[in-house]
Amino acid sequence: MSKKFYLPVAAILLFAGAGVVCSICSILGPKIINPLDRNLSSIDREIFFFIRLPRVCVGFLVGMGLATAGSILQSILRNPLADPFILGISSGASLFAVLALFLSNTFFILPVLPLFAFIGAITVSATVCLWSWREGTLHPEKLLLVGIGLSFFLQSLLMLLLNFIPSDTIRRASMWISGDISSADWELIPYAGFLIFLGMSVALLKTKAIQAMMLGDEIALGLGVNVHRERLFLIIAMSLMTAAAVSLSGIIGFIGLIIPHLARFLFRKIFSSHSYPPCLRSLLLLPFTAFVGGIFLTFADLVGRTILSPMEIPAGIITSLIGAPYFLYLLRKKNGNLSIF
Amino acid sequence: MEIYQYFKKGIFTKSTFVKEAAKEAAITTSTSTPTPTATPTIKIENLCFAYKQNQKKIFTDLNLKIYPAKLIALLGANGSGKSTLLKLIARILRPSSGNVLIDQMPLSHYHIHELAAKISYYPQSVEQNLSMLSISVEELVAMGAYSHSKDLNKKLFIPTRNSVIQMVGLEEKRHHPLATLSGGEQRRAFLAMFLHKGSRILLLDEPLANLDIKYQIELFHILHKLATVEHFTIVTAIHDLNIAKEMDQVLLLHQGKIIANGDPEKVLSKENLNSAFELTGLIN
Repeated sequence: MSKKFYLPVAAILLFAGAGVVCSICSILGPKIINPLDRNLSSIDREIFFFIRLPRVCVGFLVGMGLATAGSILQSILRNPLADPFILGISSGASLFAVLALFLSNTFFILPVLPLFAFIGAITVSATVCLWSWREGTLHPEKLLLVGIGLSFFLQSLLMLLLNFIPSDTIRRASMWISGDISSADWELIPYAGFLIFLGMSVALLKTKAIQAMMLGDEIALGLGVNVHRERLFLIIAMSLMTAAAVSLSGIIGFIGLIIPHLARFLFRKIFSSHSYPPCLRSLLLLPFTAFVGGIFLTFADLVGRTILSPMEIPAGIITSLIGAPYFLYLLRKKNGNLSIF
Repeated sequence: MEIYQYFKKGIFTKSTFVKEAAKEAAITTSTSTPTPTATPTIKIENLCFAYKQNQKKIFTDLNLKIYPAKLIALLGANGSGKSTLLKLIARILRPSSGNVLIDQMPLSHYHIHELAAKISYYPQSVEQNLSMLSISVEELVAMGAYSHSKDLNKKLFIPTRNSVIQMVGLEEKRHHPLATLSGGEQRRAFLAMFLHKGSRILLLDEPLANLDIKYQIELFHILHKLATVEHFTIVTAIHDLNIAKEMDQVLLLHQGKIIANGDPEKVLSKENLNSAFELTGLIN
């Protein structure tokens, strides 16, 4: 297969896979609903199209966005602990989202929410990067500490802001703190979906730069990569995805950190370097990570709303319950070092 | 201890290297290489540099010409400016004033891709980043092609991925993750990437540090062959006087000034080393 077909084929496979996963997860649940059934009651139809399907789509989009954002961050900052939540980027996005909600009593236009979240995310990313910038280079270890510090500060601001919010919007606002996809509806999905795919496209076009940067800025420069410019592009792409994910579901912390590692581990098992050429492997890793993130959150949510029905367990709890032990198992393995690409 | 005795005796003698290289040259004469000319590959004119504006200058009015097809050692005490000089030539740092010319064109005139096709720079701290990477040797070498573009490729002779992996002797480990290789093998993998990139000027910051003798000899051998057979210009910052003795040319740096430049035998005299490393009083 010629090289130029790799990307379109990968994209088609990703979309097809996402479609299959979303359909299966919408059909399954406490009660199996087959949307093709002609005798479907109107209540079931309502549940399928306006509760389950948007919820599954939100789950997939958020999982995808956060996993990709985490993966990009870990690579370009050369730090396996980097993730939008730890660096305070999610907190920044949710703070601005709540701010938008706060102001929205007077004027409320929906796209404002992801836009505000994006402004929050990009402000925090820029602050974190500038703060850990010394003598022309980024210090990854410092960056993490700056991010953690800033994250605490932003969360306190968020709590403070919640005190001033009118009680009717407080339920929606509290979503941005706890992270929840159960109240998903179709309203925001097109906007957030667009942002996530925009971010993904930028990241895919910059795969070479991401790969070069993980060898260190000096080597990347020698490979013809304009390090500072590419890093800026990638941080914008990552902020777009984080902002979109946060405006859909609030802060879900686990996915951005763990899924990239899980995905890389699975990727090495499935696409071994013996049988796949280097250029295909480097191109496929990001879409694969996105796909794993999407599947993971969607299935976690499916489990959460099914096993103890009618009670619901939030998806964030299930992801941690399944993912954390598996992650710890990976770390114990012989070659289980954390990798950044 | 008589330090000069140590490096005069040497662990390996120059003659073996030269003989080996000559032998290989006879075998691989078919490769298309330009003939060395009298124009310098790297020319440094009145270079001044300081890390910060108010700080002490590391270089003041440095002038230097480096000719092609040479394996050159930059020698000097810690902080004498070896790494800084390499970074200035690689355009990682920008000079405060003065010029660096590569093939008679100022460094600032090069597009980032053109420069990538000319120069490869190997920094000191690369190994730190490698432990977290899961890429294989072949994938690393393939990254050398990132700077390639169609019009540049027409002008350059770029060896294939297979041939460069073969040249550095990593065929058997081509699918191994980089992190599992030994230090010497990792450096050879990077060398293969630089060769695949097509650049003919290599700036290597301590390429032989922390390697055992076997790996040092292997790597030195490859570098020597590149310089003599393929007419590469290779500038290395090193600390080992033993190895410096085997190079084609030695540059002795002391506090940002070149105090000696030329054949190793002449440059590595007792007086020069005394002043470069400030050894007076430490040894007899």
